[in-house]
Amino acid sequence: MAHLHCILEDLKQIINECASGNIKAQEQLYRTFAPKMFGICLRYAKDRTEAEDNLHEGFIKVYSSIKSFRHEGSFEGWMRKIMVNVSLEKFRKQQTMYPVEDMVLYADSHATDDVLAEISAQELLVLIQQLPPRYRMVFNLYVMEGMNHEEISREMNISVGTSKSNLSRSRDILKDKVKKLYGEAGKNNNTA
Amino acid sequence: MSERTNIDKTIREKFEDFSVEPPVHLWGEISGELAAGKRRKRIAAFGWIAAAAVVVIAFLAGWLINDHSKQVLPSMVEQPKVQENNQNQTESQPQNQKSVSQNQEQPVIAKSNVQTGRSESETHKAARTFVVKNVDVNTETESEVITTSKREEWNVEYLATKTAEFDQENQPLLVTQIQGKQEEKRGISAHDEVLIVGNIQKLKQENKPEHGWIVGAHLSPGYAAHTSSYSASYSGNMSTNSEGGVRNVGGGVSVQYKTGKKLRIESGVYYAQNSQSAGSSNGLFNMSPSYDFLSGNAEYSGNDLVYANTVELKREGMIMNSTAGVVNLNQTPQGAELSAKTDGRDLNTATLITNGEFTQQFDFIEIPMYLRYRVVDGKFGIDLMGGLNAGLVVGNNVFIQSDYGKQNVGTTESISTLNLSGTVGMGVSYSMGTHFSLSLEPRMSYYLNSINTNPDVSYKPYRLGLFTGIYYQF
Repeated sequence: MAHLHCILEDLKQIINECASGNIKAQEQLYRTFAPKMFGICLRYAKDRTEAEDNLHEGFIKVYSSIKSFRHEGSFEGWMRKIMVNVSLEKFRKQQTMYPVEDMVLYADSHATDDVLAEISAQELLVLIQQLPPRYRMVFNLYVMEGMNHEEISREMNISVGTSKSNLSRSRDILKDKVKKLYGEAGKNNNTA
Repeated sequence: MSERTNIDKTIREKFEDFSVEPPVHLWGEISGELAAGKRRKRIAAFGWIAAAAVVVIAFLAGWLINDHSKQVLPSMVEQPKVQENNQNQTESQPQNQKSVSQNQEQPVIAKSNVQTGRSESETHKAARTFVVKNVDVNTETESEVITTSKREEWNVEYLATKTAEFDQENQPLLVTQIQGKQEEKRGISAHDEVLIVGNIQKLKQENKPEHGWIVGAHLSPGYAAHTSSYSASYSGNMSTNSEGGVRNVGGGVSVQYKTGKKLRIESGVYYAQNSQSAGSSNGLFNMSPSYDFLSGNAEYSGNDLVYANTVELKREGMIMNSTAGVVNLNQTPQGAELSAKTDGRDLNTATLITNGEFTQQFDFIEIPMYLRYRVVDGKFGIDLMGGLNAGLVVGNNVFIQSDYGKQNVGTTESISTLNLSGTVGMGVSYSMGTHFSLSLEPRMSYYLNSINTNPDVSYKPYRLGLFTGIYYQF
């Protein structure tokens, strides 16, 4: 307990020094949180390059607005929100450039969730990145951030129905991809 | 439903402590941007300090010049020599003069070497000094003449008449007029009369308040254009369309402080718009092989304006080298066509073609510090003015005006928030009584720095404006 208190005090000190522009403290903060935040950015991006861009932009926003952090909640949660918001802003801009037609409800693929238990996070990440941008965004906001469809529809400027259908479709796509991946892997193993 | 919940839960748990080490170079880029941000803040701070220094220097300059003018303007004309043979006449008319003792408060004495044309021997004996003091040109009854010798002859009645005449005309009497009436003036020489009128005029001017405030409201229709230059690499990726300035309306409020009769310091807050438009007729496509695919396309024929430029496709939009800098297009203009380049050099570039006119618009709030010099002071006044403005960019937009209406399609990158411009102008004013006046003032403002901080672009807007306004003086 005392150890945790020390860590929190250290973090508070680092945050305060970051707020006053101390570059060493900024680097220390980056080293501490960048891997976790990069993991989040990767889930929202279509590839590693986009995730790097988002992480870069997200940390610049963290440093520029760190003075407004009141030490009342989780700092990691606060940073996480910034990273998600950066991804959302990018999505909104892309949406105006490349509008996507609303998708109708797709038939359920009837896949079970057993296959998901076997797949690693890294493999799952690759599959999530392969989702169409809007599916990926809805999936992340609903499953990972715990937002409901009304909140998602507001954030993404889409209808609640679209959000629901996108989520359902993204689940199905993921399950199908997992099945194919493991099916093909099984076949390869058999032939080897 | 439970199956879906399980899937979500499984995936969430997999990513609970998921972390990936970002590439090493990323911190270098972030720290570089943080350092650049600090530099920008420092530069902005220097800009403000420079603007403040300009204000202080202009104020001090006005103050010093005003001090100098104070020493010169109040000097009065002196008549050192009066004919001796006027003594008897002076003594015979005691009722017409008001004698004031020599220890009168604040006697105004200045020396001048006025040549009277009389012999030295005549004038030396009766050398006297006279001063016209506190002549209230608005109330004739309080005209007052001070004499220091009984031998000098004065006609106060005539002096009062002359003062009234001066008031009516509000202008100094001409020497020739005075000379023409010389015979009627019962012993006052032409030279004396000139001196009297000169004194009255100076006193009248002296009675006007030297210091004071003038506030004004202005509306300024104008024409905005620019000068620009680019590096070779930048211009190589930019199509040159026919360009032109844009007419617009600005305005604001001003405050002037009169530091003297001639000089004023002016500041205030003005809104100004600087923009440039680009568009070309179909002739463009005959000249550039890049647009050969458009020949014969009915949509781009005729006299309609067409804008065409090379764009680079990015994940988050398109960027395009333009006149005022790199434009970040956050949406494709309605009805625009994107054509991929087929030369294979860069697959990320394309040609953007759209009907209509492309406009880059920058909105400025300008805080000026001007010096004004009053060339003519009267019912009609003429001012010369010049100075510096701190120009704050408060709006940065890119528009396409086409059949679909006016569409905001993005912003210009690297636009500096704080800029410096110089202004010169000449104003004509018409006084409408004691307090109010109207003015008409052509001015030209030119930005002294490139408002785009991109080293490949130099973009300096200028504006010709006709400032119309109303002033209130107190």
